[in-house]
Amino acid sequence: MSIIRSAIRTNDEEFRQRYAANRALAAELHRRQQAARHERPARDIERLSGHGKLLPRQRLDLLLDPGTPFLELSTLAANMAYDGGSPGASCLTGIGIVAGREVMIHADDPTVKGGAWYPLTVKKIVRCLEIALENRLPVIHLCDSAGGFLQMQSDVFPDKHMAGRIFRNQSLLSKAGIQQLALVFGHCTAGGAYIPALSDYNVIVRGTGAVFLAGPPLVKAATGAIVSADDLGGATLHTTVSGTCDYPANSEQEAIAIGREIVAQWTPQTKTLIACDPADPPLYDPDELYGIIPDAIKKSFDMREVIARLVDGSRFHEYQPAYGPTLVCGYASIWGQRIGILANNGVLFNDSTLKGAHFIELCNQNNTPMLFLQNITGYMVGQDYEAAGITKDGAKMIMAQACSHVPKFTVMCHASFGAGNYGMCGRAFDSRFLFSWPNHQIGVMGGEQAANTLVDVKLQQLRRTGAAVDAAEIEKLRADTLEAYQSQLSAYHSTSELWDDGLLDPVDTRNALGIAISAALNAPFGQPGYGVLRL
Amino acid sequence: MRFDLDGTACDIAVMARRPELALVVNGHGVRLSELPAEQGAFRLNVGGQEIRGWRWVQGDEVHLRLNGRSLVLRRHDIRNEQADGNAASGNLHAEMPGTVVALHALPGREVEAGDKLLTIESMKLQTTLTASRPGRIAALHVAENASFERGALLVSFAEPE
Repeated sequence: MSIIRSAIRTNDEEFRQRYAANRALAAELHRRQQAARHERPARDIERLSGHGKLLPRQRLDLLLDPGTPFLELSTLAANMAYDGGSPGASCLTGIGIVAGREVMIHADDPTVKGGAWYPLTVKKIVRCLEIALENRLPVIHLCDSAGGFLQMQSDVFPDKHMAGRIFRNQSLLSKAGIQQLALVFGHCTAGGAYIPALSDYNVIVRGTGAVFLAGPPLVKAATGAIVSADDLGGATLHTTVSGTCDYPANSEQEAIAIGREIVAQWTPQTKTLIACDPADPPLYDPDELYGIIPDAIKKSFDMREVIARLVDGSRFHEYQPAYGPTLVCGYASIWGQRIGILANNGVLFNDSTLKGAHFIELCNQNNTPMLFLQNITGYMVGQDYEAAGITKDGAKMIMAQACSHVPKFTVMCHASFGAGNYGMCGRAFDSRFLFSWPNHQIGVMGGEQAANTLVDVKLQQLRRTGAAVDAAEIEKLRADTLEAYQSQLSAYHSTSELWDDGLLDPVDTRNALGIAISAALNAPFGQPGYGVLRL
Repeated sequence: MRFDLDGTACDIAVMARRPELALVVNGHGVRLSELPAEQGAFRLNVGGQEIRGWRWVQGDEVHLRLNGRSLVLRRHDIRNEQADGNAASGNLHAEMPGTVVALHALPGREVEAGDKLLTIESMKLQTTLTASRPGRIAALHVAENASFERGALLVSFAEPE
């Protein structure tokens, strides 16, 4: 297999400028992640330790096999929502190794409003259980939540993908033979009570753990009865009388030890076989990615330089190297797992689009998972290209991609504008995992185009009404639109809204994908087949 | 398949693998078989004659020590010979309509392959176009901020003297 020959010159002025810009973005990402993970008011942390409780990440450290990787998902969910009042969307999700098994972990975060579920908390938990279903990953729930955030109940409770979806997904996981374990560290109230109840196994901590449909205050309001939380739904009641919980534990540490022993009883999943390659690191230093990624959204770069710093041994078997050069297609491997890569190297023309659709079919025929590396400003527009059928060629690519039965993975490397997002497996197309880089921007069009379009519309309105055109006012409209649009285009907004499964420092992309691909192989690939391709 | 042997193109085709390897190298037939290695040296029987040498594989390059010479053998990159007409003459035509953001080259200047010629913008994307071969720039046919149609001649190269 050929090795990618890098044309990057690390002494170039352009490289150094880009390097500085992207190092700054990565530093900002780490700062924000650190804050979302660890920065809480001291009184909230003291309140927990006063009850003999551990912090969510201390529980996680005790649960995971020592020295194994943990892929945290959506660390910065809700970072731009609720005035920053819900760091990490008040919960922690990710893929780790427990008793040698790849598992999905969902942990409530009682350091934020008692672990109450905001709308984006629910979205994050629903997504984590969807990942578990798609990839057949057993789930471990670390329960410590006050239930839905009542002030926002209309955005938490009623709709299809809101809180009920958590319990629907739990039920389907169990039906599909994918085990779940709940460790009850704190209160599981109202809907939250169903998490341990719908888990196949659960452990409850004496004294602090409790499971009930209504807590003591609500019981008092409803019936006038005065009852303690422990008598109402504590460990003794549920493990000796009601049978709602399985194992009592005397401390959080003991609950976690029992939990690890339970997981060790589960029959390990048989993985789907794909082609294996040597798992040697890339020949080029991934640190050079900082100097390759542009410092402005409009600037282009050669995606082969990214592939060279992502895949095993920088080896890349390029398919149709001389045809449709704006879409780079080919086979490579990450952590020894063979994948087909589709990477944007410019606008999608007719030839590059057809090449992409054909390569997607080849990957499906070959049972090879696909990785999409997005830097796409769209399919080419204009009369020449319409006449040549750019719309129906794009439809072919979308059809082939959407109907693929092999697992898909997407990394938002830079721009993702317009229909190119669809063809290149954007969020709507069920990538098993979708990650973004901090420089990434997404939108139906670029910020400047949107501002100019809106200014044109405004000018036409003014002309129709015969009103005078105030140049300063028009310029202000343009600037305001651009500013509002820019903040929505940003990667922090995307990840806040869970349009991805998390932001990655570019140098971590190889390891994140290594874990993601390995996790995806827990599920069989399904049946091949396509819809009608418009030929 | 084309290889690059210390800067010289070398076309090699495999005609047979059994009972021994039969190759056509630059039009000449060669039969060879590999003999057991000796003290780190590889040994080949090439048309009845024994050849000894050392080889070291690094990435997709093979470093050879043969007859007192050091040679580097690598696969020829197919992308270097795209038959789109741009490559042969060096002249640069627009692959899509767009506008000129910046000019990096000057008429009359000598450039190396890979040197930046101009940056264009099309479809919200800026692309820097580079020289496909070394040579002298005859003319830049567009000015900064000018727009151009698909197929327009952007940069022409002087004929080699």
